[in-house]
Amino acid sequence: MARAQDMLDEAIALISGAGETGLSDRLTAQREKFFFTSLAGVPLANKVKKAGTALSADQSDANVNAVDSLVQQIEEKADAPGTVLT
Amino acid sequence: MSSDVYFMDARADSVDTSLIAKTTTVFDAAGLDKLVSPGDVVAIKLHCGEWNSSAYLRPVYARAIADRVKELGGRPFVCDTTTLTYSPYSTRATELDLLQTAERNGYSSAVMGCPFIVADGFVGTSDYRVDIPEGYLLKEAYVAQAIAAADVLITLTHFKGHGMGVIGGALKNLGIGAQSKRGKFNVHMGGHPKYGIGAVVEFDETYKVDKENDPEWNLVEDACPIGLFEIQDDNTVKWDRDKCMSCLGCLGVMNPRGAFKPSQMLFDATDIAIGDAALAVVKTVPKVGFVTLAIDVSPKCDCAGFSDTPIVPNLGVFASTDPVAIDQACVDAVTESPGLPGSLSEEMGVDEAGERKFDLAGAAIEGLSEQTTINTAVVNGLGTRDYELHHVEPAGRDKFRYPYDRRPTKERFARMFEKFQPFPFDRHDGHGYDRLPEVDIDAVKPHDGPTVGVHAHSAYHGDGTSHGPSNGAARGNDWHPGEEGTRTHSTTHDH
Repeated sequence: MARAQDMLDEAIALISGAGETGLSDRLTAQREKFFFTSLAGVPLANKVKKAGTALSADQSDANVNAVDSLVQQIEEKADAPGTVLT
Repeated sequence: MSSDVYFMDARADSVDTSLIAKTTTVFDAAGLDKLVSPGDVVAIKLHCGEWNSSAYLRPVYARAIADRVKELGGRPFVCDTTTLTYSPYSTRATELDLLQTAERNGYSSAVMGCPFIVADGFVGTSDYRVDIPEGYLLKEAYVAQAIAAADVLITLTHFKGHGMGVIGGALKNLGIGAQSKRGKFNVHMGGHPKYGIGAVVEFDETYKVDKENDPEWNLVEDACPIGLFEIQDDNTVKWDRDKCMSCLGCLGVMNPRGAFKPSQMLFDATDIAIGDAALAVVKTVPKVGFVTLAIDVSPKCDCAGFSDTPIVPNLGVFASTDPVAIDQACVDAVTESPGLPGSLSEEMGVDEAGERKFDLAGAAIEGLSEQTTINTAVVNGLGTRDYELHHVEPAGRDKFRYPYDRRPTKERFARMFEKFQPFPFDRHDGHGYDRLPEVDIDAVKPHDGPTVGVHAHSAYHGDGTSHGPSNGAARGNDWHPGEEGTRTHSTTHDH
């Protein structure tokens, strides 16, 4: 499994476990994209994993919003045609 | 047997320790000055940067090398080559693109003090075919014509990461950068039955173009310069993969949409081919030297249309006659360096000193190696990974003085100041300017803000006052340079 997918799976489990299944489903929809099968998605996967950890410990609005913001960033970047390859 | 690599770090506290001075100092220390004989045509090959990239080498480094070559009697030109098509955002794919991008990035003949040229012609087919039976994978390569025709090649490299090549060093500057466009198709495995994109990419034939939700859906059909993609009536895509040249134009379009699953094998094979193609250049040009600046070490190449925060602090400048040794020395220096906080090396978890950085922070996909190209160039006999690093001392300040006027201050400025005295000696009792005799200096030094009140003023009116033209001039604003009196107190001549 790709490094980014691995981190994303941990994030999805944490966020889902915190009851935010809407957010975790949105992440699941991105999981197979090139962004996460390549290394490009590692930084954001790592960030959403950390945000998911915080959310798991404290389901405050601030933590939910932090995850939501990262999910939005991922949705934008995962479909960007300018993904660096060469 | 080991090779010699000459190095100066990136710290500076005097003109002879500036990186520009160090660039020519290591050039000489490595004996590259001895490569240039009077009358030699000298190609200085560099990467002029893509449109909107910002970490590429400042043109002044090439200018410094070009000036040194001219001092030695050589006839330099600075050059880059056309790229593959790469993506919808290519900005160096033709000579016209490249010249316009280079000019925007500061690379012009006026700046270089010598011509800036595109070494492989308008569409990248000006080249020289070279047999390389020693090659590990490639058996021929296509060297850009202007480089192949030169007497001397100075490979001036910005060391950085690269999504496909993992590192962008001297070998890549030869194995990609000094190849023509035709040569780049070769290196990128175009048409290769096992490693080419047409052979290795997993293509999802059930993928459908989403014309309703994808505003750039038409990029799919237009992603191939020879039209190998065709959108069908049911919105699936037909791809004539057997004819694929591996120009990479489609990857940035097809990968994010999930239509392609890229293959590590393509990347690995290309990295091997870079090492072989590099050999072809060294076989072709009679004399070749290498200068590499490991500064602004961005994780992705200058061929991206952006430059991320460098992954390590600036390291310095290297020079050698062995491209393998110099690349290995740069890789080792980056490995030994701590990563830069907030950079991709930290985000990838490879920011400790001693950790390899580029396998994760440079490569686009997992499993690539920063050593593949280097090792290939060992196997094909181009050079050695074993090197002795020589720390070079500064060459002395006098050598790097401003060349256009070396006269002492009085000799240089006295006559000019007689005519155009810039200091208004006739004003304010010879003190020249309207200033208070004394202020509370400590009042404006506190880090949490000044301890004196803000001076109130009304709106400014663009004439230097806050009163407006009809309200009269501000205090002391009734005199302007060039008016009567500006010459009457020359320090050396009384009018």
